[in-house]
Amino acid sequence: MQLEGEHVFKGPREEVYAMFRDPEVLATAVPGAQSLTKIDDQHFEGAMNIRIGPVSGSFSGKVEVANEVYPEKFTLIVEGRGAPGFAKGMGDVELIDQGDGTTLLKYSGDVQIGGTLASVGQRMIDSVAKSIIKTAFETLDKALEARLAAKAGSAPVEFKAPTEAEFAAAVTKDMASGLSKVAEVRMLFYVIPLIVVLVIVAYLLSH
Amino acid sequence: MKPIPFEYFAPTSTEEALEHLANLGYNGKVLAGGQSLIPAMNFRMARPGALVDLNGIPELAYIKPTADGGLAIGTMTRDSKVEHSPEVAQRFPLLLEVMPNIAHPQIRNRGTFGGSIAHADPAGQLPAISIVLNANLKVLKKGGERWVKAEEFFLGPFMTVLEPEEMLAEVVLPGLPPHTGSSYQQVSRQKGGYSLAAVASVVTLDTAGKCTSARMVMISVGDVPILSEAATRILVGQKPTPEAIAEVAEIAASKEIDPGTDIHATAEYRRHLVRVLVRRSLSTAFERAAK
Amino acid sequence: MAGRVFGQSIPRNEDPYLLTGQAKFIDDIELPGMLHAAFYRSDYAHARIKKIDVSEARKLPGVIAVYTAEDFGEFVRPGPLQVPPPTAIKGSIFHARPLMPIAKDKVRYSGEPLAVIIAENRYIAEDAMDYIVAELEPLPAVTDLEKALEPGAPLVHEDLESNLAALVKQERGNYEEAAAKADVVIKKKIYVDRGAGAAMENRGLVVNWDDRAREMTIWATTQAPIPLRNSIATRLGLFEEQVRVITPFIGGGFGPKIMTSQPDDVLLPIIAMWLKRPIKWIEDRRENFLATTSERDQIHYAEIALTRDGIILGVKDVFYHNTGAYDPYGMTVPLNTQTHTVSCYEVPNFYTEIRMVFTNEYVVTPVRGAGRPEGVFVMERLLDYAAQELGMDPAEIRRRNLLRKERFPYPTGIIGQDFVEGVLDSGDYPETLRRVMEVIEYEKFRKEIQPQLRAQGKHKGIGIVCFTEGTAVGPYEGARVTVGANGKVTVATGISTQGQGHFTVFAQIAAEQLGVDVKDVNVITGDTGHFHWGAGTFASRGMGVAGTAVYNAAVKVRQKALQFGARFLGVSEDEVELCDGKVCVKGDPSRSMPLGEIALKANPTRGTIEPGVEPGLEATAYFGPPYGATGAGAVAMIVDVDPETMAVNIEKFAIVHDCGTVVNPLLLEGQVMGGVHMGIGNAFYEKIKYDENGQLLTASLMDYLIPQATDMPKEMIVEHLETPSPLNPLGMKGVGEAGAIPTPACFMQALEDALYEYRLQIDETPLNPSRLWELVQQAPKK
Repeated sequence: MQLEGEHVFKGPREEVYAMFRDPEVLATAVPGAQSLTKIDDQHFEGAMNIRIGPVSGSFSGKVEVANEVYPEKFTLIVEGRGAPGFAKGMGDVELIDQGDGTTLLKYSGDVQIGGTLASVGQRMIDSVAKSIIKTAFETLDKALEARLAAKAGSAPVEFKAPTEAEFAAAVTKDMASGLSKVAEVRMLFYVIPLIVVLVIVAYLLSH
Repeated sequence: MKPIPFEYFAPTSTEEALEHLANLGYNGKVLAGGQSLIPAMNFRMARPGALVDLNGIPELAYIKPTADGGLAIGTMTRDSKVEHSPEVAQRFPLLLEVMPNIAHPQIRNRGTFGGSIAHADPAGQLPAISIVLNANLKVLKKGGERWVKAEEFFLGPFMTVLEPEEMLAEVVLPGLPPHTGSSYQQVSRQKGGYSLAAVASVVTLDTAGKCTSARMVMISVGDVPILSEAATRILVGQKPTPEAIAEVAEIAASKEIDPGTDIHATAEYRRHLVRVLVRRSLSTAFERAAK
Repeated sequence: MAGRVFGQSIPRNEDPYLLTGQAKFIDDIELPGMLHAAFYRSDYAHARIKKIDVSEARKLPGVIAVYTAEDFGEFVRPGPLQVPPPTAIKGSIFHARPLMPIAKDKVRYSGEPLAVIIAENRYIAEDAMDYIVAELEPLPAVTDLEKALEPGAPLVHEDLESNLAALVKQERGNYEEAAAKADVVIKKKIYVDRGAGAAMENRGLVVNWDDRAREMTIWATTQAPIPLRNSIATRLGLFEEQVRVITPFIGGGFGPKIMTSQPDDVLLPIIAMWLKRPIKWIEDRRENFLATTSERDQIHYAEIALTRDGIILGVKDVFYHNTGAYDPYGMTVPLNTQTHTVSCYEVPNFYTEIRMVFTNEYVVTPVRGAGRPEGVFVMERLLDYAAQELGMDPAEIRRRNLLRKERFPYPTGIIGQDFVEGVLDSGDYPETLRRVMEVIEYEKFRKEIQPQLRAQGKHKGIGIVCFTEGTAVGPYEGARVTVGANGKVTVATGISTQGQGHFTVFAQIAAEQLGVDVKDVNVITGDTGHFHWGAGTFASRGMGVAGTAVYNAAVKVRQKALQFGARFLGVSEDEVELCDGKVCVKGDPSRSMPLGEIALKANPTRGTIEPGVEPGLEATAYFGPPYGATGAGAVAMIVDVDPETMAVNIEKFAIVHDCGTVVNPLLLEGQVMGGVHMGIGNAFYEKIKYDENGQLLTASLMDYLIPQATDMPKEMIVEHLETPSPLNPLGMKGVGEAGAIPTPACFMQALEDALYEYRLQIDETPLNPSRLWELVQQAPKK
């Protein structure tokens, strides 16, 4: 399936890029991640437990970053394999400075899904993919906000990496109640059978 | 197609069920009719470590009239009971119109009203109906209870505000005022099959024929059932005209929904269906309201 | 030719067992110490196998063994071919690549087995799959039939130069000359896409190796018990007699269950011998879609050349046929397509070419229709395009071209799946067309009803198509009829039964000859312990071939009964006749002897017998036709289309069918309706969909949609025309696939008629409401 879209980040391009380089943010943006190991600057590996609604599965993931042009663009190649099947995606990501302090992120990619997931999950895949992407960007928005606030020296906004239990517990989204709190932004994530979306985020974070 | 090993609990009271859910947390899952959960478990797509079976708790199944002319429906009430209930037929003809489209009689004999809502399948009818009928949902957990409006209950595909230790216990449908009409329209490839798109409307007129309420919800065209804001904005406060209805249909189809393309239908076709079905649903609902 | 019971609508012998849950199906088989098998399958459609690590899986409690290709050694090799190559057709090219039972070095389709797990139960076997680590290096997959033949396409079989599996050309007359003289030549690219058998019951196998008795018993949901037994015995180095294949009641066959030498029947018998415990394997629904064969999936470049009066001068059809990753079943399906493209029409010049292609999808082998629906679809669509072009009524253009009665027997000049030239043996095609038009009130609909509806903005359309159905092909079948001491009759034959009603119709044939009650005839099918010569249930041949063998055997037993009965009654043969289960003296019913007593007396345990006389009241007979008998018919339907939603309702359906002599009208109607049901599925519901990476997207009944009883037309009329076939004594032709063959073509014609203002030219099947809407959007409005 084709995946494409865009998202506006409220921050300058370099900050967006830098945010994604922060390993902590990287970890938080990969829901269900038990571990994310950096093999080298271009390659990452990790195990992910994913849950969405009643559906869940474990996957082992590989990520590769290619065609980097800082701070403009790069390509992510993601692969995840597990009992429910596999997903393999390739996405081109572009960061555009809008000139008003915001950054437009455009992504376009292609995801191949196979195994049980593809053969019995067709009805779910589209809506789940969209839901995940939506959540992923909301998460990144919070991460960026936290970093900018910290940098600006205002009251420290703790961006706490969700614990394993919280990841595993990430079935329900508590955004509504969590968003307005200043003290601690509690992140609860949707877990996703589509690793690629997460990985796209992971890649952004890898720099 | 066999599930992973799981523990099985069969409580005989609501308290007992809530106790289990509190202990199991993310590892536990409520088993109601099982018509959606068990296939997912057999595919090993769903892997709960434990099931808390509510089928042995008769106090969770009931259809009780409420003082405002509505109904309180216990979560374990079988779909077929709702389908054949005279109170439902009288107070919520929309349900009578929808139920025969939910799979087949055999499935409806086991599937439950609350279970379908808690499952939150984007293509499911009952989540959408709970929204269009403005339902209030009673959510229980050990030592606590809260109420959630149906409009706020659904978060995404197969995702609701229910925490792992919580269960949906009751669906309260508020009574409908006089001169209320409703209509359910769907297109599905098989009778009883998943819809490619569906629309449910509930509209109310005042004695002068002006619309006082227009709730319209669209199914299978987004990750949750979509309650149309355009319907309320454009139709409330004036007499319903074909032009106004067409305007609502056009806005709903082009701006309010986010249909996907899959092996059964393209997004464009689904948009087209919404355009047609919104028009048919609202027109029919208004005709019925005027009677 | 109806008799006392033959030709009568008799309720089925087997139904009381089936309806009260007493009938034994494969999953009912329980044996002490039985283990359960599961296959760990590849997710990737095309990949190199680097390593499969089953060590952790082996440690799981309850797992008895886990095997990969290495563990089987030389035992694992491709094949054999189940159907021989088409050497009978001059110039044909065929690359034999029979099925691998388990993947070795390379995976060629998604679902190909990588390991076999044997465990105490199926739950544990599936748990073990989570512990298997398969390192596969994915390769680009080929799925598009035309792209697969382009230079540089990834090769499914790397020892071949391309993905071309076979090339077969056949011609009668000279198409190019005919086209040069035509007033109208119409060319179209036509797609027929893939559908599954989707029987209610999936496949299964139970193997029991008795190590001390050195005997193997196998229960299998097979349409070919004898070939299955023979292939298993040969592979294991056993005598055929050491292996017994028994078919329990089977919940539908429809073609895919004819396959032998599949992973289960190759690997499980040897495993059973190693472990010395019975093994059961029951396929689940997802596996059925992934790794049981399905069919259709062709791309046709078709042409028709006609005069301006609509008379066909020639037809040309070059088509691509998807055989999937392997081609164990030879050319059967596309050969059927070739023989059925000219179908029931007078087509003096016909050129047809098969380009069979390997792809990274699962294998294509016959599914009800078996290539015939594709040929008929192409022909009927070409006629409809021609009718549109010439401004002719679709029924009229057919009437003008149908073969007349006087033309039979009509050699077609095209070699079919039985490797002999197809000959249309008998029929009255114009009469089937005339009658179906009468039944559906065609003229009235066209002239009165439809104009009124159109004026009201309603979109109802009518379709009429004609078709033939090649059936009852050789090589042969056999049967043994025996009268027991109890006076009741046993019929044993080699073919198996999947719900067609053999237990009743074969009983009718025998009962008619022997004068007994149909209920007193016990029919045994599909048990190699009872009868071990035969080919199997396919190509709608059960009745025509096995039924004839039953008849031949029953006639012999009848003669024997009269002969012996006369002798035991002390009269001459022409003085006796059969009456009510006895042999009686004509005119003096008090002098009689029950058949059971005759049977006993005919099998003495002392004394002597006459030389040349075989004991008992029993006879075995075989039958093999020189070529298959061809059934035919015409179907019509009226559809109502909602022009806004593209929801289609088939209001009325009629079929006039000729399957020769009718044995049981009640069962016949069921067969025809069942076929129509599948045809409707192939028109608007059922599609096996692979993506460009060879991933199967429709592996459950949520996504592979089958029309349900509630989706079927409210009004269905089934009528029969009987033109007895000269090819067998009872004049029977087959009918099992009839309903499935013409229905998609009829549906498309009716849709085009309903949505007349768009002048659609539908060139694909199946459609769905979304695709139909797309076609309408793309069409220029009249």
